[in-house]
Amino acid sequence: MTTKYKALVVHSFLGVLLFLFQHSNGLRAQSTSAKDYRFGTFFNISGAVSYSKFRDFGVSPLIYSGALFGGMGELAFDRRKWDVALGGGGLVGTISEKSLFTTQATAYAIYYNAQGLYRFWQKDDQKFDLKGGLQLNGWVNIRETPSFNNASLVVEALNTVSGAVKFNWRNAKEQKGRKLLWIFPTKPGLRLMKLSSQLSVPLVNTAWRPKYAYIDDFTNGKTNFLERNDFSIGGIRLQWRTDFSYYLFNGNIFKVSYQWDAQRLGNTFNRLEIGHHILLVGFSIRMN
Amino acid sequence: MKKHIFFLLILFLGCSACEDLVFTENEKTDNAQANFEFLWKTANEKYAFFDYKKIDWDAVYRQYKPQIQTGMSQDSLFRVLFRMMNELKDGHVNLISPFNVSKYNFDLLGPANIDTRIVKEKYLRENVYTTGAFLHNGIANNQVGYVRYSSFSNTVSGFDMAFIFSRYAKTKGLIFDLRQNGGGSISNVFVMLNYLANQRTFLYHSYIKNGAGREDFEGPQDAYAEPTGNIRYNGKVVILVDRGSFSATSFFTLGARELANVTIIGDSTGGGLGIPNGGQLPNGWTYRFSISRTLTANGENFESGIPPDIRVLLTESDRLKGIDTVIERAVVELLK
Repeated sequence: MTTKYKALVVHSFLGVLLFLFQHSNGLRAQSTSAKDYRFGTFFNISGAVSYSKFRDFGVSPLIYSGALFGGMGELAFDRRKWDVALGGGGLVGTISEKSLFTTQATAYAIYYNAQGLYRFWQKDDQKFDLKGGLQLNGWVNIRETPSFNNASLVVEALNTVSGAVKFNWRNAKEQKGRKLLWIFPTKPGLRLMKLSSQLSVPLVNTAWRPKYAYIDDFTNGKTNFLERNDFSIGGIRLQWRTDFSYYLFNGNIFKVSYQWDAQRLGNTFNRLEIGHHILLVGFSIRMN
Repeated sequence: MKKHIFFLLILFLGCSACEDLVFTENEKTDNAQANFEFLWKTANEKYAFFDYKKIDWDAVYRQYKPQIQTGMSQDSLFRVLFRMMNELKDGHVNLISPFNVSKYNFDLLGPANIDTRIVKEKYLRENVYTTGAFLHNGIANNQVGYVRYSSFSNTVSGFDMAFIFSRYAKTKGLIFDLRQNGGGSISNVFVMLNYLANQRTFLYHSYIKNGAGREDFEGPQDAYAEPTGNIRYNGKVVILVDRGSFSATSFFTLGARELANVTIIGDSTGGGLGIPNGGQLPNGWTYRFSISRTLTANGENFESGIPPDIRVLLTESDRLKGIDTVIERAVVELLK
């Protein structure tokens, strides 16, 4: 997928999100006490598809890209003053590099996230608010590239402590009963939705990655990942996540999210560049 | 409201553009000069045996650079790089393209020391067993067990070794024939050595490159044979090798030399005691080099081949009679 086409797809997706937020009639209407349902404790579960790119100079100067599929789960405490989340997930798929011929690799990515954000600004009874705080998250990546003789397996762990700022925009509108997309009937009442956007910048970026030589078979006959990898601090990582939450009549939430996560780290001989564009679709199940 | 939508769009566009900061310039290219420079530089930084083999890699650069022409065909480029890589004279050095693979014929450094037809007709004909990757039989009136193992790429299990030991427990000796065994997985080496060892035995040191300098190595990483399994073989053991015994076979031979009851017979091995490490060129071709060195406890480097304890070559006269000179010599040694 070319950069231009990819940008068009993602811009279109965000445009659709914003259109839905402004004009959608929703599947159900909320009661006049819907304001109480803006906050709560939720278990989020989502299916995920990601367009991911990897370049690992330890084995190749070429960029490998492809679609990864998986899911994520998260326990979220969304309160007026606090926003605390703890979750994780995984993705798997085939990435490839197309020259005159195609070289393929299988990529596994396991993700975890923990964050605590505190409200430092709000307006109109938290129709708008800003929360900031700390986030700890990371990836464990496994890449298998059979073409790289005896350097075919990479296992790495990338962890970051970030400063995060999250903007929330909560909307409640009276709606008339009508048919959404000419098919789904809706009841009149109060419609509740939320658009959130969180930007994270790294404070401490760490990596546990293969040393100078990437080796599958060790000469002592033992496969010991602890000996194979080195720990380092440095590099850059940027994360941005936007969530569109549509509150259902029963208090649960239908959620669509886009997450961009990119980082570059390592030395000249093993510089690693990664980019994920993750689309998550799922539900937040109210726990309280 | 419109201001908020505008703000979000700007933020999104800004973040998407930031990905260009993370991913630096695309280095994919078919340019012959660029790929030549990349391959030479990578070998210069990663290959482990320049000093041991007394190779002037800078001189190699000066020799081959003029042969790289702008617009040269992929096949022509491959042939130039093929010849350059063969200056390293290493069976672990390969350049792999969709249409060709470069290799150094280490096995041609010595005479052919096995005739597999003779082995099959005379030593593996009657009552031959196939146990995992082993073909084996009793020879010399069942006084000796003969085991043919042709590739360390074929998995060896503890069960296989235990069965061999059990079947030939009453013999005076065991022959493991590893001639023309081009190597494979190191893990199979240790399955076998751990069964052959009667006590914890130091085998060799390995040092792996950890930087671009010629002497940038870390280590040593020590290898030991740790006795395993409930069954041991109490007789003498002979390992047969030749110039086609390479890589994992050389590691096995190097380790077996340290075991008290083992004798190495045949020709020098083909060497290959550096672990190969692979990667990719900007045009997508892949390569591998030796990125480590292995030394004995005394600091000896047998990268060019491990000499046998008893040198025996297959003679033409024996071959014409359908006799394997090397196996017969091993039998004599075991029946002493």
